[in-house]
Amino acid sequence: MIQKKICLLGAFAVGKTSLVARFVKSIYSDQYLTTVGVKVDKKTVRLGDEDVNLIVWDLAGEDEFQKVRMDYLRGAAGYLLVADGTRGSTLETARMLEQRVAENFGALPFVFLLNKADLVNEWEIDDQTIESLRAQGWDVMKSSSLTGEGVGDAFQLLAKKICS
Amino acid sequence: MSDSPLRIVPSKPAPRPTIEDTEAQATPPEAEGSVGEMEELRRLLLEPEQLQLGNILERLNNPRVRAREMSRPLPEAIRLRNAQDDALSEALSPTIVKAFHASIKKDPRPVAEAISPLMGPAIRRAISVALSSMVQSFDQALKYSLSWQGVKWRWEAVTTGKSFAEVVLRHTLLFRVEQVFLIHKQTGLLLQHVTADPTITQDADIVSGMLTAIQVTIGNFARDSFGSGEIEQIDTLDMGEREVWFESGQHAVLAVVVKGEAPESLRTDYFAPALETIHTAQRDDFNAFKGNPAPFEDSRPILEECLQSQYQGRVKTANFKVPLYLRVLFALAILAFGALTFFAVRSQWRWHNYLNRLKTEPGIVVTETGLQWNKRFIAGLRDPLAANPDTILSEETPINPAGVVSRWEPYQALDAKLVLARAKKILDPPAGVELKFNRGTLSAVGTASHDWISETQRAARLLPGVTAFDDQNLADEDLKEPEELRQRIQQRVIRFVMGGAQIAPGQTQDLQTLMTDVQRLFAIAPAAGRNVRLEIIGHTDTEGDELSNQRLSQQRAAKLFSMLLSTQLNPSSLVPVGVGSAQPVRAETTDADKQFNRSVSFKVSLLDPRQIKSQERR
Repeated sequence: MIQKKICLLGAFAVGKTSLVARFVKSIYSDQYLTTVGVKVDKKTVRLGDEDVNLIVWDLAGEDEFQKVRMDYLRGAAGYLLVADGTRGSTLETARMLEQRVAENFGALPFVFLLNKADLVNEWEIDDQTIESLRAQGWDVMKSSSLTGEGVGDAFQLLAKKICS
Repeated sequence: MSDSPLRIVPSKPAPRPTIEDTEAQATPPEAEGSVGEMEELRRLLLEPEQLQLGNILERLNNPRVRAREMSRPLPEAIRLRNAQDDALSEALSPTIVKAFHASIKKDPRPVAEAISPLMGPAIRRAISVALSSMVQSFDQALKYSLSWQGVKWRWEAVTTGKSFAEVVLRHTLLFRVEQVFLIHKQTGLLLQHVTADPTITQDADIVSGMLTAIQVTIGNFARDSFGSGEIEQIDTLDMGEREVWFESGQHAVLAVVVKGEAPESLRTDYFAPALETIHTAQRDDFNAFKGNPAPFEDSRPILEECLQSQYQGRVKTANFKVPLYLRVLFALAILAFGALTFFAVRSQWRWHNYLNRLKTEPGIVVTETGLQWNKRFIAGLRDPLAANPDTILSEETPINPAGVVSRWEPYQALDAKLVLARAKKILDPPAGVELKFNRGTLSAVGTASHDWISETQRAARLLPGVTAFDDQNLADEDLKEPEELRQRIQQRVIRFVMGGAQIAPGQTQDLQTLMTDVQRLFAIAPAAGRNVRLEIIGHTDTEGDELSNQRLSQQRAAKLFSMLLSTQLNPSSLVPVGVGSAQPVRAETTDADKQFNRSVSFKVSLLDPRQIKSQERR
């Protein structure tokens, strides 16, 4: 079975880990994120007639005290970039992360997830911004850790992008 | 081939005819004289070169000569090129593989013969390794199962809830390579995974990723902390009971999970060579790797070679040594204790069997058992007719009768078997009689004397346990002859003349026999306990009136009565009656029938005086 390494990137506390928790096979606790800075899970998606094993490197979120180490992205085939719809600053972090990845590894395929779709009333990111991101060529999807909305599709889309 | 040495360059720059051109050129007839001279001049000037040219052409055009010449520098050329780079090997590799396939397809025998010297030892080695590890583990299991150490560990297993195998492993394991991960260096993806323990179920893909992540983390930490420019390569992760050893190659990392204290030499003897072999053998697979680990299935046997383990040959024992005599004494004590226990258990078992045997024996009731002065004691009731308990003891059990004290009180048992035995003993039936006993009824079947029957009828009811005596199927042998006589007499008919009371002629012999039979019957009946009553019945035919017939029949009966009286018989036992034509001897249809009905017939009763008395009493 084909295997691909993908990463999960985003600002601190955008809900990356909770977002995928229900969708991946995990043998390690979330403590690894704070101690090691990374936690590896697995997600199998079906592409056409074949299964693809996505080895998901969940990286500790970025904030002003801690930067995501680009070393962890070495060998990744793509990544999920996550921001919190209710916190505009996390979009900036996401933009920054995308740039840093591109600087280090070239244009890696990625899917951008705007999380907390269940709290859409409290969103700081408006549709116009989203459209402008799409205009830049970003695949933007809305997701919710609470309902699981968008997560399966995001994995599917990313797998399709990295295997094409 | 414009730059080949085939082209001859003349001394003049132009024109530049080649030899071929020159030879092919047609010669004009008008210039024949000067041509001949020119030829001569050319021959003189160019002869040595032409000869050389001929030689060169010969070498180039003859493939055999070319092949011979090329064969000379070829080995040297190959050597030089191989020293330079791998291009030649790479170029030749597909051809060699193709040739190899073609050769095997055509005839696999030469290849089989060529590699058989290698395969034989390899297979032998694999088998011997498998066998020796099997023998070793069996030996260990046996050794530790039977030893004192083994008992201790078994106890430890019980108290800690671990399996015995696990406890043995923990105490005897020096080291064991539990798992080997072959990890793609750049992506951290798992290429291949082997494990010594097939029950390990952790998802190796995830573990592989995490091992890589930890390497990156620690590498970063080392760089941040100690300022090295490059990310440090991690050699070992210490995890207490286990270590993860890393061996890094160009494309892949070997992560080896080791339990216990493994020697560092494993790296140089197994892990590094394994990684090198995989790199060499699967270089193309590494280069083409895009996430599909399937080609690395080939590396499995190489990785399995890395699953080394070593156990303690000897288990450490305490320094204190028990002296030999104490050990011998202890062993003897154990032996003696074992023997005593064995004999005690066996004796108890035999005694128990004996008591059970007595319980099934009719006529024996055990009321008390116990030990009395180191002897077994048994007391109870015993019917004198029951089996002898002492005989059972001595003949049916291995118990020594000298070690048993018995006390039996006699009693009469009412078991069917014993009631019958008692009846047989008391009644003493003659040979022709069989006694049976069922639910209180004693039955006698067969033939016996009248006296025995009479005695038995009286005595049987007195036997304990007998409530009834059945003699239905018991024949009185003393009644046999009286019975025969009775039947013979009753068949006898004495005919009379028509209308009179005179006996018809020709019956003298019959009369004589009748007299003899009657006399004999009266003589022997008393011995069989019977009284005889003989009815003499006079008959007539149906001719004439019934009144005179009645009278005539009485006269006929009286005739025989007086004849029988003359033989000294008791008159009270003879009863003459006349029945006229009312009870004909035969149904009267012919004259012959009529003749028979003018007669006297007899009815004999053998009366049992006891029955008569009881009838009289009633």
